[in-house]
Amino acid sequence: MVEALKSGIEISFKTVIKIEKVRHGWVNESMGDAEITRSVRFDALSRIYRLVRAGKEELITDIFEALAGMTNYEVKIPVYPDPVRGNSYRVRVRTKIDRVGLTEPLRSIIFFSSFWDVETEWARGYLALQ
Amino acid sequence: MNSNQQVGGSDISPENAPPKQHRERIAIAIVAAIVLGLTLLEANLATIGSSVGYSGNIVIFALININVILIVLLIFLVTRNVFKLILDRKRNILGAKIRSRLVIMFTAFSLIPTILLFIAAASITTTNIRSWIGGRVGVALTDALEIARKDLDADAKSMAEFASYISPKISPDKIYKPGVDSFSDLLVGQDNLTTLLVMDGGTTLARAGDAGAKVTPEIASWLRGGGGPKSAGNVVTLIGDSYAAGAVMLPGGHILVAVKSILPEQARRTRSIKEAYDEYHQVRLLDDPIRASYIAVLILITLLIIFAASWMGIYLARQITVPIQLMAEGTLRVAGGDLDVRLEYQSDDEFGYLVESFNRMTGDLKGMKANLEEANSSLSTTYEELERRTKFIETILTNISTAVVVLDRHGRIAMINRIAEQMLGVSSGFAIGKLYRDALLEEHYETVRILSREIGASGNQQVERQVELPVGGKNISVRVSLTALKDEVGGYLGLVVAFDDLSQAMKLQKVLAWREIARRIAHEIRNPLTPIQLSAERLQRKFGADHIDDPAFDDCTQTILSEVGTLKLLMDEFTRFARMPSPTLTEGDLGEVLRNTVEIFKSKYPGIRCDAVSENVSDILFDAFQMRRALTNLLENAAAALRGTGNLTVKCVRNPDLDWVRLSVADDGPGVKEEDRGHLFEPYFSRKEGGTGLGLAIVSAIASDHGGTVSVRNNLPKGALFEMEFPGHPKG
Repeated sequence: MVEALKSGIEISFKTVIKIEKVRHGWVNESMGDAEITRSVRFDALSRIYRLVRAGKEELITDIFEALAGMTNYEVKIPVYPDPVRGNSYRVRVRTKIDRVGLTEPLRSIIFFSSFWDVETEWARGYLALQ
Repeated sequence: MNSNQQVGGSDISPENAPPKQHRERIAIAIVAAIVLGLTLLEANLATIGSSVGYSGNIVIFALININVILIVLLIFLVTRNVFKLILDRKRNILGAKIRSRLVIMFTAFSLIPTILLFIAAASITTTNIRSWIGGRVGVALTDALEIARKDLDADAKSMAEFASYISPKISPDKIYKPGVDSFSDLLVGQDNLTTLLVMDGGTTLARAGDAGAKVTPEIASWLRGGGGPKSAGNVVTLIGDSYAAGAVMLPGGHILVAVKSILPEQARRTRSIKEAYDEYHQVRLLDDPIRASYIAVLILITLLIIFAASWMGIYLARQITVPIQLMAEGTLRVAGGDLDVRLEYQSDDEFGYLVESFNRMTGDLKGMKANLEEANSSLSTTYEELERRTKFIETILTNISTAVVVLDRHGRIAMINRIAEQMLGVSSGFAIGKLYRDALLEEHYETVRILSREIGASGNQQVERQVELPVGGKNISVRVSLTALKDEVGGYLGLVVAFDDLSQAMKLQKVLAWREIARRIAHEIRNPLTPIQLSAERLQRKFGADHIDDPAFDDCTQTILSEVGTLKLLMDEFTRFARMPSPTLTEGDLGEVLRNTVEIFKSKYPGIRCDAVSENVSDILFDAFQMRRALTNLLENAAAALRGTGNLTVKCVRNPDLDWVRLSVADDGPGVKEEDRGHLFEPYFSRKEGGTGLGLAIVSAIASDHGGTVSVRNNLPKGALFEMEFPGHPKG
């Protein structure tokens, strides 16, 4: 992935976050969700990573900082109904490559390659109202 | 090939059901069109794919899948046709062999160049990609980018120095006030590509010069991303495609940025170098997928070409073999005798002309066959007529009493009838084809030779002689006549030699002579008999009493009277023989006469079994009285031979073709001795004790009076067979 990024390929991640009320023995109730899209592209001339998050572009010189910008989120997700103390809630997070920006002649290649078929498993965490 | 195939009633039309075949063709054409269209659409969508996002390219994947499915469908249809062709070949269906050969040829011709092209294209693609990513291109691009970067870095450093130089001159109070132009004065001495910005984080507080619309937001992003100077005196630089910037921190914490805009032409070149660099590294990264994708496309195209060519081969082969198959089937039917066959195939090419010629040929053949059958029928009728005539002539020749021998122009025997075989003592199997001098007895040959010389010398068409010839071991009187056969122009064809047995005629003459003698004898003897009888009776009446003691007187007179009575009976017989009247012919049933006579005979001779058979004799012209007498004489003769015990068979049969009646009496008695046969029908010849010898002579006379003959021969296995033959309806 880093090598692809260094090759000037713009990589866009879409992260999906879902908050659910855990219902034992039944399907969990969805309370809210959010989709966050972030993309990064390396500029070989200036050696700067162009990170786009929340619709704004940031120029970052350090790759780790750029990757951190791609993977660290601070989001506020409105939930409904309001959480109740004592209930169990679950948050699920999944990230997948949303878009791969190749140069013009190479765009058709992605249809014949599984190189970009990256999607994480759902990461789960349980929440409780304090 | 423009063909229009039609289905006819009893005619031969293209075998495969056209609707089904048509549907297949349409399906294949539609599949090919869809594959082509989807491929073009995918190519187009792939171009915009990157802009719509990776996840949004589901449509393209779907299209690719559909494309693959359609290719599979195309493969299925072609494969199905190929299997069908193999099946047809195994079933020995007409045209399957040549069709399979053509398909193999078409496929081979398309397969070989296609595969060669595929290999060449795949090799060239792989080689080009590898040479591009593994050669000096990467080094050149990296160096070019480095040069561009260094230039920009140098500009950025000069901008940083400029910013550091002027930063002490900047008074926040002075600059940030609206309407004060002292900030622009700082650019005095700089070119017009330089811009000064005072920024607070991502916000521009003051600006001098114009760096372009994109530059300021990008510098703001840079500062937001933490790329600016972190403390006073800290100098940092930033470069972009179209600018180079240097920044220092002002005493108030604000950032002073000096930006130098790059000339548009230089900026364009820099962008090109950067894009080429990116592309190069992307290609290097995606080396295997790129090659795989190209090869996949090539494989798809190759498969498409191969199967399209195969299908085209099948289609063309069918176009070629359909008329051939039709012709083969038509030829088989014509060979089987069906000339009504007509091939329904219309085309403006040579096959159409061939089929049309075939149809014309079968039509001509049909006409010729009809003519031939008509001629054959006529010939058959003529032949039958000729056969009938020949048979008629043969029957005549077989049944006539004249012996006939036909010689060809070389003297070879061409025909000899049954009587001639008997008379001349040769069989037809031996004689026919042989020279008559080799086949006939010396005396017979000499007679014919002399007469033939005479006919040749005289120039007459016919000569005849009465000669004595040995027949059956004795010399008989025979009339030999030779008739020369000539064609229409007088050319010699041969001779007809006829031998007439005159013995019967002579017998008849004898009979007539005997009749005359009998009449005269009867007349001469009958006249004195009555006076003798009266005298004897008078002697008995007048002198009988005087000589009562003399038995010699009575015996003598009785003897005289008895002998006179016998003589009278004899004279009556003589008279009957001598005065046999001419027959009075009336049409009647000879069978009835036969049955009546036989019934009387049976009652008279109960010890003799007598069977009577009659066929086709219900309308015969004959003298019933005479015929009854003749039959009675024959039966009496047989009864005398059988001596009261034996079997008799009486047949009366008419040959309808010749209208000839044969009355035969066969017994199983001792038969007739060979030496007696010639005299049996002569008057006064008898082997019976007390016989007058006139019974069979009368039979002979009656047969003669009816225009016929009577003969005797041995009956098989024993006995004698008397045959009387005469015409059923004698002419005149």
